[in-house]
Amino acid sequence: MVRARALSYRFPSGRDALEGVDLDASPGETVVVVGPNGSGKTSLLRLLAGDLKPTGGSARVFGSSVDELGPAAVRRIGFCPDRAVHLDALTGHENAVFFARAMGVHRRSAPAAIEPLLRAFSLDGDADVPVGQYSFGMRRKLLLAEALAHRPELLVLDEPTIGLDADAVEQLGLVLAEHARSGGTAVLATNDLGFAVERATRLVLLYLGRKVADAAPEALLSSVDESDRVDIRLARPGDHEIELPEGVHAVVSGPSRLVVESERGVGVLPSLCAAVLRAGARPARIEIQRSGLPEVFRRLTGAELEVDEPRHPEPARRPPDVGPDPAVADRPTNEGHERFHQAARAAGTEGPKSGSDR
Amino acid sequence: MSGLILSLELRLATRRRRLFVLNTTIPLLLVAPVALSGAPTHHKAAVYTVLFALFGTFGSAIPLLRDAEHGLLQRIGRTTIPPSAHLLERAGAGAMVDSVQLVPACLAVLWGGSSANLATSAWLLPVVGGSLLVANLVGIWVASIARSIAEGALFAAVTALFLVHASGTFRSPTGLPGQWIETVSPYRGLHELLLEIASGGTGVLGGGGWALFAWVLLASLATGGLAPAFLDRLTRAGTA
Repeated sequence: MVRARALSYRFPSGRDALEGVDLDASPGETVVVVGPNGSGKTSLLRLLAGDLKPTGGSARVFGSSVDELGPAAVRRIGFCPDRAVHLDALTGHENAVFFARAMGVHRRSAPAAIEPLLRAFSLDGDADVPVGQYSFGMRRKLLLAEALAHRPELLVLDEPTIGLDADAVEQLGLVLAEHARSGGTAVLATNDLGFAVERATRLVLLYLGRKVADAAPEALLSSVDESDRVDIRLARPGDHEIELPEGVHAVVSGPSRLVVESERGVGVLPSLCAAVLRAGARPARIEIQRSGLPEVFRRLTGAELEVDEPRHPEPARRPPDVGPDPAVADRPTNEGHERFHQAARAAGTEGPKSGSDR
Repeated sequence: MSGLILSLELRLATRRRRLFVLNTTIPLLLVAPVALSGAPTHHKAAVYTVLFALFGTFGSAIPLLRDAEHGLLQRIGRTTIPPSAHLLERAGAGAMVDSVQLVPACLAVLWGGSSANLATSAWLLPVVGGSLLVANLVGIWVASIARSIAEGALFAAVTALFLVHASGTFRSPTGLPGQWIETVSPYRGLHELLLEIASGGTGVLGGGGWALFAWVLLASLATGGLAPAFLDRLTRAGTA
């Protein structure tokens, strides 16, 4: 159903978004693409949906090149882009009907096609409200309903869980499961790792525009040990000298964040918190991360996989002028890039020219 | 063509009530004082022609660029609606909405005319509608070469004024070459008719009418044929 070979995309600015990616997706598969911001996930999905033209390699969907998808092929694809663009002056129902009809659903069948989806995503109560008054999460839900309304065989969903509440994520999972059962294919990009591991039949890890892994979740996760991670955000950033308890080692140690690993799991928390407090720091948020995909990603690339916040209906956005995100600043990015280059060279594939290119 | 974009645009026009009221009132406020003044008829006709041509061109180019910036053109481009249907239906709907919004202004033009006869007056709405369709199509062309709304506004103004000037609105024909250009210019018919109405003449459309008809036909064909390229440029500008 989807077959990409050496697929590449270069932005008009000359920056490479995707380099030589191979990807296959067959009926019944749910392929989840995971990677940090800027790894090429959105570009890959836009290429598969025919929204961008490849600058190298090829991609075929239903046997047609994505360069020249005709209306018949377009009708078989349900694309949910990262931007939730709607006709704000129209109601949610009118938007859904318009986009369903624009995808070939007959005028008379359109309401019947969209109403169950609006109900499933809890939008039926607001279906007659102009979309201009919708929240971010409601817009995202409407976008998903619109992508599904014409019952496409191939779903291409970019960050489908962003902005969704827990119920909607659950509903999306059910929709994807049903879609796979009925022989449909889904290619998703997400940083919601829990959702990715739970729903994927295959995980594709992207880094710096290249594919670094492509396997079933179980196969990828079986390669890592059982150690857990504790991620502590500090309330008052500073140069704290935290003496870590025995058996605990730091992965990231910055002025506002401490990430440690321990095989003792949550059992390490009391002594770790005591060590943090002894050093004069104050934890603002503590998060336990089960070892898994981030660890796999770190081993493959040396870089950190940015993990989505726990699911919130309205994800907080950083204002653009508050300086670098401490989480990003703390990340050992350059080291990760170097390790990726080494791994790529060892694997006989050429790594990206420079980490600073992107 | 499915008519989907046409019905969408008409529905959107009814939903954006404030914009509709503004677009109806402002031309009336501009036309009425001129129509009711004792200004020379050729001045009156020039004001009307400029206003109507700018109204159609701006009204097409600016919303198109706005929708490109918002990602709406790209979103509709991912559906099964063909680019030609998208742009032609959009231009058609734009001309219809513009015509309705200009009805009060046209009534003011007739009111201020020196008792133009019924046959001449009856031509006003069809000629204004046809001219607005050309203006809407021209608006699509200028939007496709603009990279921002500000550029689009500039290009729309320059193009509309150039075509109005080429149509002989600001001068009388002085020689054969100029006359030929004026005869085949899109707003010649509109200007001729507005001049007749303003002066209370009884003439009906001459060569300008045929030129308008040819422009409607050729501009529609050109826009339909070039629609994929226009939309490609617009969506690239919108995501740049």
